[in-house]
Amino acid sequence: MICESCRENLATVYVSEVLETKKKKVMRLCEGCARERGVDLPDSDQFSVKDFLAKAGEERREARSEPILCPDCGIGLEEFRRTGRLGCARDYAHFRAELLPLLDRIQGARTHTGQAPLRASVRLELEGLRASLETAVASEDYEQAAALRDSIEQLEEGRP
Amino acid sequence: MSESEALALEVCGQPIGLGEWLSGAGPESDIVMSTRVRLARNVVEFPFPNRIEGDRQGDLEQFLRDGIAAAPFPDQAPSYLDLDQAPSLDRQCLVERHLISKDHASARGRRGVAIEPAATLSIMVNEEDHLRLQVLRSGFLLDEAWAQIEAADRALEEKLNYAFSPELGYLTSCPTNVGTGLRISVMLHLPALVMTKRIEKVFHAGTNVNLAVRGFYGEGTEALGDFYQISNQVTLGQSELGILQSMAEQVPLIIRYERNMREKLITENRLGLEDRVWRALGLLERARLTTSQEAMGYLSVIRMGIHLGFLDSIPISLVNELFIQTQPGHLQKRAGEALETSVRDELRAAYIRERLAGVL
Repeated sequence: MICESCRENLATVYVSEVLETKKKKVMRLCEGCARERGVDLPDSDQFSVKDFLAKAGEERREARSEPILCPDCGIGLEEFRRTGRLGCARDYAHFRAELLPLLDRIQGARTHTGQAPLRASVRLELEGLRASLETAVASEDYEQAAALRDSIEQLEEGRP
Repeated sequence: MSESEALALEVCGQPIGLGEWLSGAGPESDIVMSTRVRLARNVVEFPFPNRIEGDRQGDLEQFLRDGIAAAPFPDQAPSYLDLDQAPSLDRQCLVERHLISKDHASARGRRGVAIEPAATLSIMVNEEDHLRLQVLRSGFLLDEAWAQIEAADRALEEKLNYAFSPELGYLTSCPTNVGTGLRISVMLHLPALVMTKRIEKVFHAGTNVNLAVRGFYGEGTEALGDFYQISNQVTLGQSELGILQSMAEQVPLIIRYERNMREKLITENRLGLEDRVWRALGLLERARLTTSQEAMGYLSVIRMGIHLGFLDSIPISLVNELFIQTQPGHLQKRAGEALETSVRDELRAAYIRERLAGVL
């Protein structure tokens, strides 16, 4: 069922109005249009990034007048608040101070604990070094093996 | 019409496999329709898709397309569909097959999707993020789905420089995906929990453990066809394995709950339940006009009836296919043209009758 008001979204709210003629009028609306008409809907579990940012924006607007734009993609905080989307990967560094409280709220965390990409070049180099290490150990060249082991450790630590 | 003809879908001259997820062959498939795993990924060389316009958008698409073409996928390589050139009906069919998002279908500009021949792996290009990898499998199949997408991710990573920070993980256009970029969604068929009015409890239980539960077709609590999707809400601060583990712990609880309610319904009113199943079948066998909503509702009851052993001549794969084949895009694609709703209802009813007559 399509929303009778915007004719775009799925109607999930049925609103019945009692008219003066005491007739009931039922409208099928999407959540957005229902809220616009002042229907008090129970909070959805979905947290709205936009709402959060809009609120954060109001609090900060007084303190700052100059818009800060990302030098790489040109996006500003205003636009991010409006769309809920960042413009480039570097925005995470540029707007770090603004983003960390947001991450606390929506993710309940601010540090990644999962996997990291292991670039092919690093991996290939590691494979080469490990093969050399095996050869060195097999031929009992322990000095060479120790050096190789150091290189491997360095490379492993240096990965992102 | 032969079965293979009925299921053929060609987009931009490329045949698209029906998708293993509709086979109904996966673990726990009496209740779990499908397991979907997706990863959001971006490359460092370009801004996110929403900040790219004009020629740069084409450059980005070509860059990603080249990366996908060069990546050493462990299984069969995916082939690329240019969605900017695809007719809207074809795009709608890809949505109905769960291979692309609605937003990706309706967006404008240079974008596409790479789909592997078996249609278990698809990679959306230039959606909200540069790449959205997805693996979709039949039944409750977390580990396999994860292994498959991880391998595809590693293959892409050999050719592409992912945007990544050691602090925040994989960087995404929306902060709700940052970190692992991993979203796992399990689609559950829960007719008994709906009939016994216990579905709300599942919603509440989900939010307590950071899982989102929502109706799959449609929104809110009244899900069409009694399909619900449960997915992880958090992508940061939990490792991939942690997210997998949490799904592996929670989903079986819901499966058990649904099974218990099915048993309860049988114990308390077997005849009433059987009547409901046979009526649904009777209607679909005879009806001349069937709306999409009706089809979903009756097919849902039949699906449960098969798993309860009331109907044994109908293969579950047929019911799963009918859910997809009776959707508006597929009906119109088979007819070869855009159709009015009333004509679609007529074709839908005829199609279901024909397919059911083949097995009854």
